Amino acid sequence: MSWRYKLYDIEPDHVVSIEPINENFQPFVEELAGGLNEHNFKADAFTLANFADDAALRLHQVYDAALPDDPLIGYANPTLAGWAEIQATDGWQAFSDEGLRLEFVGRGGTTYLCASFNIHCGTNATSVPGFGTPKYRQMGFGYLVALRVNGSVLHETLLGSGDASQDDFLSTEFSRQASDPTSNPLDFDPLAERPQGGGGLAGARLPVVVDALIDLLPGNNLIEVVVMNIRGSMQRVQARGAFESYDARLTYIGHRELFALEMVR
Amino acid sequence: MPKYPYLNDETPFDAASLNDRFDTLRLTLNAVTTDAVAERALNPVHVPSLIRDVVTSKNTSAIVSTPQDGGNAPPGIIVDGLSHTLAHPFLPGREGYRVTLADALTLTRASKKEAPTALMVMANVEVTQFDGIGVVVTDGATWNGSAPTGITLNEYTWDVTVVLVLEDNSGTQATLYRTERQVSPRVTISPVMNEETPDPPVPVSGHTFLEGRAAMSPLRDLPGNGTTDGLNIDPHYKQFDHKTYQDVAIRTVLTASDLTAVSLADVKTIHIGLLSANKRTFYVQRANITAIPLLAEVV
Repeated sequence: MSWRYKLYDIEPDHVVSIEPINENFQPFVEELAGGLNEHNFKADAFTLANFADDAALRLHQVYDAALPDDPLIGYANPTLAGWAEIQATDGWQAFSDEGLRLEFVGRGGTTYLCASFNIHCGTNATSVPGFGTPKYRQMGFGYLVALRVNGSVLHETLLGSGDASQDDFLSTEFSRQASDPTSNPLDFDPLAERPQGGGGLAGARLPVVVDALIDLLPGNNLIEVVVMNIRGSMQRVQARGAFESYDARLTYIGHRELFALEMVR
Repeated sequence: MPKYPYLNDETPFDAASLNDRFDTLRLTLNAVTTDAVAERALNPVHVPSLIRDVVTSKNTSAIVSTPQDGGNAPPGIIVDGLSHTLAHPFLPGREGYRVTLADALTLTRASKKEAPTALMVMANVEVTQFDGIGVVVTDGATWNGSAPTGITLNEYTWDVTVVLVLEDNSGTQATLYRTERQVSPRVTISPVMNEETPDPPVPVSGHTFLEGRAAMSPLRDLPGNGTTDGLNIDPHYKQFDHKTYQDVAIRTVLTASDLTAVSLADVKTIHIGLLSANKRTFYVQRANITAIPLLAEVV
């Protein structure tokens, strides 16, 4: 704070007027109210050393505990790898796993939310040793991914598509009719006649980033990564007998990170 | 702070009104604590932004090939998937794939009060294509009387893995494992060659693909000769154009605890590291990485 002085001396024989009194008060009030400007400080008066850590930004962050040096270990042992399970059911799914759920007390205001993670939908193998059955599975609709804030899905973060009214997909119906180009001799495009394949993020390995800049209410806030496995269609090929054992209806989120950067100013 | 009750013409002007105004200031001043005027007492009222020294490294049109340049620019980087691990990924070490900070950061203010406490990192890399993909041409006599074709590219066993690698001021490097991301190639499953779809799938005798599950060209829904009518029409290269053009994005915020976890004293350079967990060979072309030092309270 700078030095301030009263502007006028009010002498005993002066006529008392309200204006000099107001003006005498004003410099002190402005100082106390934080009315600082370029006249108060020289250009290089402040460095970061002057500021508290939370002067402008507050970081809330969660991430998984990564297992070192084996990117494939989750395919053999997802529990050991700490992968989060995506169920083969329709509707939004949230997760209690570390790195996908962030609860914090915020000051409110503009906040950058970001989730960066990897979805795994596969077995990382094309055959079972000693059994010989390849592990391919045709997948139809994929995933929708979004951030959910205090129970409400942020539609501006939604990644993927999957309009059931437009995307006609049934994974068990790669029919002979659809695959036969002669069934539609006019354009030789069987897909036009019977579209197959759905919307959403689909693939064996999907790196995903979803983020948003929002105004957050002060107080307790819950940020979640939510995934919709559209019609539960993202699954793995079924496990085969004694040679392997896993739940084909589970797919996974691997390494992940979720953070909120409060921009206090 | 309370607003000063300004004296106006109609305001009562007597001893009590003056005393009230003095008391307002006195009480306010007496309520100011030592912490409020000590070092680090400046608060958001005074500070517009505490983001500084942002550095970005990105590919430019001069060093990546584009459809318009006629192939005159370098064709990107080929990464041999056999010789790299997550602990020691391939580091292109060139513009776009690494970013170097103006100063090495410890991300703690213990010894330097001006130091930022967090480092936001945004990295992107484009995987353009995989190498070593084979064309599968079936023997019409062994498969349903027809001769469909496909490719050996399979999304389950082909991958590119990307991870951030930190380097300190002395040149020591360490992988930040939690930033590992994997991407599989885009593969279209076409009706061609997939007319039979047993569930669970069964292998086609003598071949490396499943009946009804054959991988096709990533970008074309009707690859191969496009027929299942038994005609012996050989495929041509364009029908197996296996470029994938997959983008891998990583976002993270580094803090002092990350440096402790990887046993680095500070961070000076951040690399995009590349490998293939399934030992595939692939090409990358475009990449960029941005590092934003922040003074932030790590809650």
